[in-house]
Amino acid sequence: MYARTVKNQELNFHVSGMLWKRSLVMRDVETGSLWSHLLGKSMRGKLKGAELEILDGVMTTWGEWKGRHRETTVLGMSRTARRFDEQVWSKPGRFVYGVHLGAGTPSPAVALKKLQAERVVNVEAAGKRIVVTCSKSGSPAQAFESAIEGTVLKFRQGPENMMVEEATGSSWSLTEGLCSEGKMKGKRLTRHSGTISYRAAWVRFFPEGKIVE
Amino acid sequence: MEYLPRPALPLPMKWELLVYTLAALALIVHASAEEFNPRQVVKAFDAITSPEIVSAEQGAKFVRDDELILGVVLGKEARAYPINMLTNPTREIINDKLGGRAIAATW
Repeated sequence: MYARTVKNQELNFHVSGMLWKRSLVMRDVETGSLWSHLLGKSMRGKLKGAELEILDGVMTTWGEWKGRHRETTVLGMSRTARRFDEQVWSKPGRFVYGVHLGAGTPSPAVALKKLQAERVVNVEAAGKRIVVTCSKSGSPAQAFESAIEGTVLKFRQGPENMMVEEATGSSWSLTEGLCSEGKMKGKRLTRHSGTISYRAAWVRFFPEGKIVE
Repeated sequence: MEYLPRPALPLPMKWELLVYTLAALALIVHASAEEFNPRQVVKAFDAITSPEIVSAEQGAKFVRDDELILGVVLGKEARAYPINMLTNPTREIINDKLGGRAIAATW
């Protein structure tokens, strides 16, 4: 999910019909520049080198989403596939949850299998402390910076959709990163953008990023 | 300059040559792996702009609860893009507006 305003210009993207590293290449109508879909970066043309802002998209089920966002709207186009439902999570070996730390920073990922089994995974990568969480069966998953005001926090799975910070014993929401009970009540973790990706695609694009198995 | 006919390579040498050539090719392929070298595999498709958007109530009539969606919240607006509508080359990018911002829904 990208913002499509670059240098104050609104761009419209279309499928170029090209692949690079077996992944989609987008073209913008306005300048004809080519963009790597997975990197969100222009690789050729007038805008070469420009990067799209990644928006915080969440992959989850429609049932879970509309329960959380009563006023949501939804795309009303025809289906082009039928295979993407909860069953996809039953083959977690094919997926990772990748965290975007920004261009030039090796992007870490957590094997979906580990994430489903443990629900809360502490990651140390690229000089950052991150906690990756999922509430049920791998969907939705999210990533947070696991440090607040210079203090590194370490989390473990708690009851229901909660996680517990080990040093203080405080309780935090898995999905919102908000502390609801304990010494740090009211504190909120900073969210990182992340995405569920095919493992094979992630490895091709971020070969230097570590995968927590 | 005296012309010296080049002797034919004996069979094992031809095989060696083949091995060297393949190794050299592999190196070239490896070195160019980081370059941007896209291949045209299908024709280009027109940009999708102003997509049809419906309410959750209307959407619930045709999107099953267990279908995967890509969800985003911007400002006070939330929107879901069913993955089953964002699949195949004709549909991989949706140019949309949400919460006053221009966005590209894609995964």
